[in-house]
Amino acid sequence: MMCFSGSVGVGRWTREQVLGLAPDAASAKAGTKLGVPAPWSNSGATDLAIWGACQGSGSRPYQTIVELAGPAYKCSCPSRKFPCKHALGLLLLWADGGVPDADAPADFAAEWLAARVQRADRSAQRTEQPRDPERAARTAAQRTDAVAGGVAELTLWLTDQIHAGLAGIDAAAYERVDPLARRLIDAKAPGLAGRVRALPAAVIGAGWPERLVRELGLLWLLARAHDRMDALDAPVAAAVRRHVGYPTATADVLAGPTQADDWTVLGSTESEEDRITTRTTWLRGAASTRWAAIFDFKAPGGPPLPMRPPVGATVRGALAFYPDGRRALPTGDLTPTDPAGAPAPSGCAAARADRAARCAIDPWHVHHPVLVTGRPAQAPTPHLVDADGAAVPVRLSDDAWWLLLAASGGAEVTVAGLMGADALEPLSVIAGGEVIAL
Amino acid sequence: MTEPSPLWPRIVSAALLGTATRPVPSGGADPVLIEYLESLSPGTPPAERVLHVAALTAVAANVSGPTPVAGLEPVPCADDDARPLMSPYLAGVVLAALPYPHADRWCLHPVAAAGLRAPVRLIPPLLRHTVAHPEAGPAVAALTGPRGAWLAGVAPGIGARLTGPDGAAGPVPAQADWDALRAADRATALQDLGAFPAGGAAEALCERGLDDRTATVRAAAVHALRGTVGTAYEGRMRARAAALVRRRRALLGDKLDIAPLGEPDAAALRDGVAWPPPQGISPSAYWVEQLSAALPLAAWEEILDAPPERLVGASGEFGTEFRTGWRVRAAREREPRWAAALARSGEPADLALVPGPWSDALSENVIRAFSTMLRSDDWHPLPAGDTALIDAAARNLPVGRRSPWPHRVGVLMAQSPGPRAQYFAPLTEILRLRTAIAEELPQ
Repeated sequence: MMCFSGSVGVGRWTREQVLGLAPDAASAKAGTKLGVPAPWSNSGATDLAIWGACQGSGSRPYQTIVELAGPAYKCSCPSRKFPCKHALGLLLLWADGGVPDADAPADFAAEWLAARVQRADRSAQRTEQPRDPERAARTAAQRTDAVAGGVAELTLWLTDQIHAGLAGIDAAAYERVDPLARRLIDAKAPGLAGRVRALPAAVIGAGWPERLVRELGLLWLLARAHDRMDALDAPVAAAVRRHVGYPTATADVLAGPTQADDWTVLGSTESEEDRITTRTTWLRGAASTRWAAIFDFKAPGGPPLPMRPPVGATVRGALAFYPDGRRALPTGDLTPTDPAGAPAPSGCAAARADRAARCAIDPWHVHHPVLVTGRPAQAPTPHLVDADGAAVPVRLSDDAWWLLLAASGGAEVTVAGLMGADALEPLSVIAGGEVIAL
Repeated sequence: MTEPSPLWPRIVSAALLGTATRPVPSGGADPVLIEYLESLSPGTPPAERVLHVAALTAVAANVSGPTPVAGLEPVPCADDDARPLMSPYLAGVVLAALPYPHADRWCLHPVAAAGLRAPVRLIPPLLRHTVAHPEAGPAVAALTGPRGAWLAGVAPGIGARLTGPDGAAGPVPAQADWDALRAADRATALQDLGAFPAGGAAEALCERGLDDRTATVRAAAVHALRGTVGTAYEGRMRARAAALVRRRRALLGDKLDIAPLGEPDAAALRDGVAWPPPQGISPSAYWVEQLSAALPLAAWEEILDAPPERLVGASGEFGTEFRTGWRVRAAREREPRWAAALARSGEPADLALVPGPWSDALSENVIRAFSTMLRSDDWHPLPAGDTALIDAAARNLPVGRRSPWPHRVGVLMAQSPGPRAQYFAPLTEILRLRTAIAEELPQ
């Protein structure tokens, strides 16, 4: 059984998981070619690492090592891709059961793996050193002042826009919002900057004036809430801080209270903004019924996204939560365990009430994780009809809808999804005791 | 007293035109918002008042969530399927096999023949597969069972085609339905006819298809007619062949002679004879190649009164064209005697016609041919015959735990990084997938 510190493992990886690590399609294709036994020699695997020598066109084979915990890769080939095709090929071969088990790593692998352990120890020691509280307070005060300046500029900009009128903004949206977005970045308010930068998207398509005025209203609400943050309830203030873009130190999160449970992965989504890929893994605790979202980020040229368990897997361990109570970090090992039982049926009304309760402390909250039990209906658009006969609109691709239909066979299923303001966006469907990613 | 018009549209208008020139409206607010709006001080600047209303409206719309709909009828339920489920691993192998050529033959049919049913996550991709590969329809229908047929019915957008050209006879559209179909659907209907008996409604429909105004429909009709023995179409082509080709004994064996040939008449053009020939190809050669592919191989044995090995080995000016056409027929009919005869003709491509699983001797010959191909530094595209052999090897080289051939191909690939290695990449992957299937299926 494999388990990872700060990450999660699921035993031997599948080919899909391995190919998911490829930096591009060409690497995946080249790695697939090398995922056969013929070019490999001196290969072996332990619970922590796999290694092998791959005969290429040169006289000396390339020595390839993969540490599974990171995962981390080392290869003597000259490729600048990460992981290279040899590492992918070796992982694919291992996924197919083509790498023999070994008691200890080969010499060329043992040296690199030992060096990594030493580096990890030094890094852990640095992390454990206490922060200077005075310096932290000084930094926080400086940031608060900078953000307040940015919020003041945002307030002025908003009133100016309404005073002068929004007509014509659809023809030059970026020119009107970009200077403010840059200023908000300088003011250390990336959350506000992101919302401002997203405004041009609101002016695309019919009905844009109404959409845009609503978005400006939400920005106004955020700015006003920030001005009187000291008077707000703690959960609302935490929501304001998060939407404005105040950072939360990982060490502070890990030092806070934790929640131990059997966590079932009910969804995984990926998005890209400013060339940064964000992956969100959605988990739900079997006993606590609490939702958690683990975020992973990948920058261009940076290391690949870490391995997470696939949708449907259940892992046991503790999670530490950010102040929003949703974003989480594993505090230690998360080990694969038996699948959690099927969740209790939940209708549309319960899901809407749960979302409304969350919006009451976070008015900017949109996508809320819920479970909805019902039967599919497709007249005129996809819906889910619960036991009370109430139908909630479902927004998903054709492929995902067909899969949801296939999983249900027309019978009642439970859908895990993100409920927005006007529809449910499914992440997975639970049918016959199986969780199927949509 | 008239009620004021709703506040929100007027607020949006004020925001568009600017509060500098447009007064901020009041009254007509949503009852939910009135309490909050009244808490604003009277001196609040107009722009701020607009932003307040916008904020409250946005929050109210967001917090209420999706509007529930009443009275929607769920889709009907599918029938149960009690057959054993294929393992998740095998399902992954089947999914990985779909992009590769002829996956129905080396993957879907064997798995379907084992009596296993596909897991639900595999059903939509299998149904989608039949859109571009109608020949996979029968195997997909067997694998997906009643759930697949149900999904194809409730989600017609998938475009599933669960009967294939080589499968059981598909439905024949009625006359009125046929007239109402679009050209693409008429072609699809002909492709979906499957193996139909001569002399029935399906043949009549194909004959109508020969007169269709759309070329793709005519081509589909010709293809369907060529797959059935005993049709009027076969009779007409037989008459043309009998008038054109003669076999006679020569000093070194048989020889095929061709009678002098004019342009094909209107009836021949209706039967799908392509004309005029491309530049550089003689009219006779073009005619012979089409004619040899148009008739069942058994018909050639009857017309020329000789077994396949004598016909394939016959001399004559158009021997190459005859063999090209017969190769097409042999691939379609999967006729072992003709395949063996063509395979002995010396063309590597003809080895591809031998049905699998191949013998060790044949496999060895094919591996040697691959070795020669891979050693070449030629950057030009691989000849069609060579790619056909690679395709056939992927289907027919024996696999399994004791089979040496997947490993031999892997070693060959590892030692040959030349320009032609790219053509062999699917071969290694298909052999890997076939090995996995062989090990996974119940023996």
